[in-house]
Amino acid sequence: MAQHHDTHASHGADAHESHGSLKSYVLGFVLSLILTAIPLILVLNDIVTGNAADVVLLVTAVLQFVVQLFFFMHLKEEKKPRYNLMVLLLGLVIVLTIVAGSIWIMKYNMVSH
Amino acid sequence: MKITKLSDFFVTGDPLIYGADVAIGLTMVAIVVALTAFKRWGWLWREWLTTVDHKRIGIMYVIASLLMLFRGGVDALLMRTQLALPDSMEFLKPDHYNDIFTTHGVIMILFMAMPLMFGLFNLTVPLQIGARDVAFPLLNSLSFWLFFMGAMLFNVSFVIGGSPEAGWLAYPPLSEKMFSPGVGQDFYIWGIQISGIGSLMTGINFIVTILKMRAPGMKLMKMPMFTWSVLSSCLTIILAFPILTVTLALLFIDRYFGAHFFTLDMGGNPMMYINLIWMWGHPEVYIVVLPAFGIFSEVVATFSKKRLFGYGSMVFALMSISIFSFFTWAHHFFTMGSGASVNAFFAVTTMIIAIPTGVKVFNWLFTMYKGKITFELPMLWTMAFIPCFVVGGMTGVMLSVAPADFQFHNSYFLIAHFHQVLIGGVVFGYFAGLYYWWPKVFGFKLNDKLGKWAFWLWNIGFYVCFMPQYVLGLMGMTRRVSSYSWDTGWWSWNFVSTIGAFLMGAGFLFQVWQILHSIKFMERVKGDPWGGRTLEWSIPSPAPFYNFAITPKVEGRDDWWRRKELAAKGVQDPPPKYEPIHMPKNSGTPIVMSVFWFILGFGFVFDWLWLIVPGAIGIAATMLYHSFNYDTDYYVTAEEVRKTEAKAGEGCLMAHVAANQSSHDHDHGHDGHHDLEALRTMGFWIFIITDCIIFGTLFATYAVLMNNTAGGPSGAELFEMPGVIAETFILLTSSFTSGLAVLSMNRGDKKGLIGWLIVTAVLGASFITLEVTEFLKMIDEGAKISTSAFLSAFYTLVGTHGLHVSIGLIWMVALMLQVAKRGITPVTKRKIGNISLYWHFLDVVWIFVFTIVYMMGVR
Ligand code: HEM
Ligand SMILES: [Cu+2]
Repeated sequence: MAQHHDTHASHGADAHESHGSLKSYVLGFVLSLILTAIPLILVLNDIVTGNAADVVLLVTAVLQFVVQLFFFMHLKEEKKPRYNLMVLLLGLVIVLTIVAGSIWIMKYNMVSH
Repeated sequence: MKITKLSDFFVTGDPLIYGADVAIGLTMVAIVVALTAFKRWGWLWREWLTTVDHKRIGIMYVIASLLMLFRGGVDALLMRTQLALPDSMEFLKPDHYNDIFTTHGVIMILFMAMPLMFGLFNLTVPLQIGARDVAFPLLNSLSFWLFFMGAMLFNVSFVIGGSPEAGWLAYPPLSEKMFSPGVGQDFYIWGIQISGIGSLMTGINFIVTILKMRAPGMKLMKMPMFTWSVLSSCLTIILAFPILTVTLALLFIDRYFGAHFFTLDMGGNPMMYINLIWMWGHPEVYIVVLPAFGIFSEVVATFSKKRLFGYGSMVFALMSISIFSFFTWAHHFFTMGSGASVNAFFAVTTMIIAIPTGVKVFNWLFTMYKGKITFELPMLWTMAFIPCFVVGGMTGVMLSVAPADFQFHNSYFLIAHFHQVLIGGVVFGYFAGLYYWWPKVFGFKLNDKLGKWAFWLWNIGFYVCFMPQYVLGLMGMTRRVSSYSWDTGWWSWNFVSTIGAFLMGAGFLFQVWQILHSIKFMERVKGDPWGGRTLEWSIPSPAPFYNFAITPKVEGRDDWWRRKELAAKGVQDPPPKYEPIHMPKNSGTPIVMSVFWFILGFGFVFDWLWLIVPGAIGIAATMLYHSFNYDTDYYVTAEEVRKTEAKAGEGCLMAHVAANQSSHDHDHGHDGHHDLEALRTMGFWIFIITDCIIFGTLFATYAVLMNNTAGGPSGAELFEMPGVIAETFILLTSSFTSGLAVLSMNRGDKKGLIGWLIVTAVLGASFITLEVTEFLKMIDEGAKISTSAFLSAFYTLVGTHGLHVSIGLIWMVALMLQVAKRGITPVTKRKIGNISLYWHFLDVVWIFVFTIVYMMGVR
């Protein structure tokens, strides 16, 4: 067990809280709004279509994910060693493997109707 | 399920089962009588059922898993008896044989290997890294009780309701309602789900423990190898178990709500289940074998009196396997017909992963080379493991050759292969670990002579049992058959195999005898009976409840060995200066909550709402109770520590050698530094990552099934974008306001914090309201979860997200109350930080739901 109970107060200030300033939250929020609006305008009005539309959709979604990671979740501020970042990257690799792997493997087995 | 007569509930008609009924009943009565007669109920509750001490939890794991080994072993012997003779044998009827191989497989892997492994984690890891406990002791206890309740739920199916019989991985369509209408399959699902949640939490717990709670000075590259192997195994657990959870949940949704993920009709695709379950299943075999590799590394070094050869390459091998194990899963279904390029890819990845395994074998051999080897029991099991595992590994590489696998697949060749790696690798490894750490755990050694009998019986029995099965496989005998005819020519090999199985059974009996005998003639040992190298041997056996009276200060690998060498040179240590120790309090919450899980699971199995509802309420209530409980720890006084040490000490070197006492001022330089709230924040982050995998698996399922509308409506016909767009902006805004709540908190502004939390919660509630309205409208239009595979996937993915939001809302209200009552403290700060993280995460998930499901769906 941790024997450092008494250190809560001293650590409260630095060790384990989301930092961020009002500025970063507002910036993140505005960017997210924009990144949500872009696909809505482009795709629902058929300004881009076909594969290009898929690309626009996925790229804006991924960008928004990155925006939230940095401006809301403050990933950049983690101290070294950056275990959280490492676990996140691993998790993303596995998620990609699951999605892409399943699609690839199941391609020949799809019973589409 | 409606029960009209007794035989709907109890399994009837088989004398074997009546015998078991009687045995179970008598055992239960005997336990109750004994506890009452000796007035032991209070003791049981205080010392064991509510304990949060990792050492006791470890002991409970070991006991439970040995009982499971017994049951799984009896199952194995029943099957081998049935197969000993051809045709005429009707010892087990075919459907009973199905019950038994299914039960045997599930129990051996999930309720024997996994908990035995967790037992060894618990008994050893904190001691090896010089910690007082694991990072989350209460969660640790919850993990155990969830495993236990899950195992019990699975096991009662034997006498109540009927066993599952669709194989240990329950492939659909056989496991679907249409072909397995009984409750056995539901027992399977809920038993594994409940214990699986426990496994996941253990994974998180030990990762944080190892990364954050090491004694000062113990850099990562100074950790004992077993600890490394636990880290790699746990990493694989947190990445793989969510996939299992989702896969079984989807099967359950099929069975319970009539969905069509894996059915043959309405666009379902059984192959998808096989794809998903092996994405967990292959990593799972590495999860159980990696710690065995760790054990062998410790044992080889100790009994060769040498440092482990190739430490760095060993670490690299362990960690790379834990990741690479995720890229080979398709080798379990080469015959499914996914095309040549898929098969080629997975054949190659499978062969590649054999390389780091080979590296390890050489490292062990080089460690033994020129060592002063002593052949104690742990070492014997290690030496038996090496050739066994090498052969098993080589037959594995044979199986990985995709074209050849068309011949081996589902034959006894496969059965022989996986038993060789599971018994020769996992079981032998855990036995070695048990023999090795037994004296540390209990303070006495196990009898050597009886142990040798057991050893030889297991080993000879193993080869006699499984070598013939390779031959049988090549002769064409397929797995899961309960009989064969004389003219197949398989009889003699089968008969020999059965003899071998009984030899192993005898080996197990010798082990039981060995334990009982050793308890009776207790040979006490001191702290370090084997001449160990790592920290766990530096403290008394059994370890005091706080483990280390003084936190050791580590300077090298095999630090205990180094300190002993210093002591031999006459370097004296300063007398110990004890300080108060901070410890977690025992708690009844984990066991109570797990009982509610059992009730919930049992309710779902029989579809009894009157059990499901109290179960669910009970789980939520215990969770909230825990959240509001701030009285969780206490201090052991320095005086008490001194007394305990004096009593345990009896002159053994033990902690007094704590060469350089660590002082309690924190040097921030090393990453072993920790404080409670930081640990919890990290644990929560890892939990979020496992949740990512849950959603990833749901997205994968959606991607594969989304075009299978089976004549029903498609997304383009169904989705109404205005509502969805409103939901999107609402959730996005709530993510922002939850951030503002954190900002207020950091300023110390309690009112602002509560205010922004309320705004966030109101937004979240509006989101849910809109979503529910949308769902109800769709259902009203006839688009139900049972309409098509597409809709099954749609409702499940979006509904899981909605469920997360709903749980978040309850949690948020609970936190508001806590902040209102207690103000902004380090604990409430951490909790608010976590919920806002959770909320951002849910927003991110929604971005992808919005994009992939709705936007791509309406196009
Ligand atoms: C103690 C010696 C053991 C014996 C004699 C034994 C025997 C058997 C037999 C006869 C089968 C059924 C083969 C068939 O009909 O297809 C089987 C299946 C299986 N065994 Fe074992 N077993 C032993 C130990 C283990 C252990 C230690 C594990 C895992 C850690 C294990 C895991 C499995 C699995 C996963 C299956 C497949 C079940 C299925 O087909 O669904 N076994 N074993
Ligand atoms: Cu595999």
